[in-house]
Amino acid sequence: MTTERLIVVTGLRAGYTKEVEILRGIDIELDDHEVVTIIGPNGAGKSTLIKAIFGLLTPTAGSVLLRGEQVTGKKAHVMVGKGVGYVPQVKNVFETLTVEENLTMGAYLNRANTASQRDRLFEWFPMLAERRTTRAGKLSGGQRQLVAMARALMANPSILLLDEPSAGLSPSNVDEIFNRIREIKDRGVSILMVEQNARRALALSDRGYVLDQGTNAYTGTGRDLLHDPKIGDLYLGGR
Amino acid sequence: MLGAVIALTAVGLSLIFGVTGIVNFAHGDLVTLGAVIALVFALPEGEVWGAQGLSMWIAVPLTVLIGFAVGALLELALIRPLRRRQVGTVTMLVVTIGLGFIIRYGILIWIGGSPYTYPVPIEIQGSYLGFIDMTATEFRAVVLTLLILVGVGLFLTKTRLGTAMRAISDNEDLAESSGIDAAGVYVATWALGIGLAFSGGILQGIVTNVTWTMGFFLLLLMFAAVIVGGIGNPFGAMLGGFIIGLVITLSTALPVISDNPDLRFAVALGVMILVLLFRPQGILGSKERVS
Repeated sequence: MTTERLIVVTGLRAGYTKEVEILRGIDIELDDHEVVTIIGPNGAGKSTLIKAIFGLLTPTAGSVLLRGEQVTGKKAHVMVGKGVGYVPQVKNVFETLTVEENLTMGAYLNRANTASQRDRLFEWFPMLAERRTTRAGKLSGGQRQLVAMARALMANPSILLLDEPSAGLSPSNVDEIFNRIREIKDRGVSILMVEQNARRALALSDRGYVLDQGTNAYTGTGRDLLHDPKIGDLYLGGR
Repeated sequence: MLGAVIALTAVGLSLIFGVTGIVNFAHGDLVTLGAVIALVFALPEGEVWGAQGLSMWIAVPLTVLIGFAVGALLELALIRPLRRRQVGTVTMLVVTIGLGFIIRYGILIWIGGSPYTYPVPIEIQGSYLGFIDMTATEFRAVVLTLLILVGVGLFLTKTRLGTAMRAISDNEDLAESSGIDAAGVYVATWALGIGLAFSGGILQGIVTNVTWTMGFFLLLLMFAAVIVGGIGNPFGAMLGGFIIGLVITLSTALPVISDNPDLRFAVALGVMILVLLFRPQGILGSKERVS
């Protein structure tokens, strides 16, 4: 029996305006229980790819299959209903809402289990439980990232899309975020992430893709990409 | 009393703007429409076209229900198709101005240009809480408005739909990413906003009278309330409404303003400018974050 392909992206093209195409035919796959990282230089289209898969951006061509089902161009809230969670890089919390309200909104479609799921996450992230009535806008970058992850986990997704989870965080916060990502993986959630901190991300990934100028440049296992001298020089900032 | 009406109607204006991004210039005329529909239900048959001669106890709740329906219908039949065609903000604004015109002049044709009063008994002023002089009806209207505002506040903070409205108002993409279907929440927001506008119109009509321009004159004051309180923050709009209403009412004590009543509006907007000079984001508004 073959493992189930969770996400299959084929020939995906997308951009923010008609004139400028950012994704120029991308192929990506995510298998069950896999962690896959997408790396590449700034402007390669990494974040755009995540948004196009999740339905925040409508692709102009190509297809996205979710467990074999055609979901190309489906709206984000529909994707959440199909078990896909998304943590954006910026503006990742509702600033004027409390931590608890942020989590409640994450379970908008998971109404019946909101309270029990929230208690589970507060147990998992004690820092959030302490600040449940604090407005998310008052939190630090690292704390916001945790709120954002917890919010996405409230819907109990089987796939989590992470856009630069460690961007702009202090080294100790980066450690915490990568530990959390490992914990999320251990709980059986498949993860597709885009990350600047390529070495850290590839180290805990099963596979990786290198994007350059909107197309696939390289692909391989996390270990292979980490140790490939050419990729090291071009995309990981040398040794 | 004026403050209560402004607060009640400004909340709807603020919610609709915060959630859907539309500045609804028809809001004032929708306030009038609420007052007029209740009037037509309550007036004895034959006074105006369509008069029903219903008791106020039936006419008022029925009108508020119609207000919810009108709000939902406006969103579904007018705003949504325009948004689907990606009509820009300015175009949308002109559309609501046009809608306001249609409603206003439709009402003029319907009930004419002279003022009407609801079939409620005229009362003399009494004194309440030791220092507030108003009629019993006014006093009840203020209490009722406060109850409605508390209800709206609880709805926005304690219910799932209310929190979703605040979430969309805060960050629409993130709301969609959390599984909130924004389109559905838009309908609910318009329904609530126009329901509140209708209620405000009825209350204003009960304590003063019903004219075809009553809401249109309130529009500028509602905008002032929304801006004073902090754009996009419904609680700010409530607070702003009371501040603007109070300032207007107090300002009539000045001889120059009691002689020229239209100057009241200048005073209200003067307060708005003053607040903006010292607190550009409004009293309860939050500063724009750069990061």
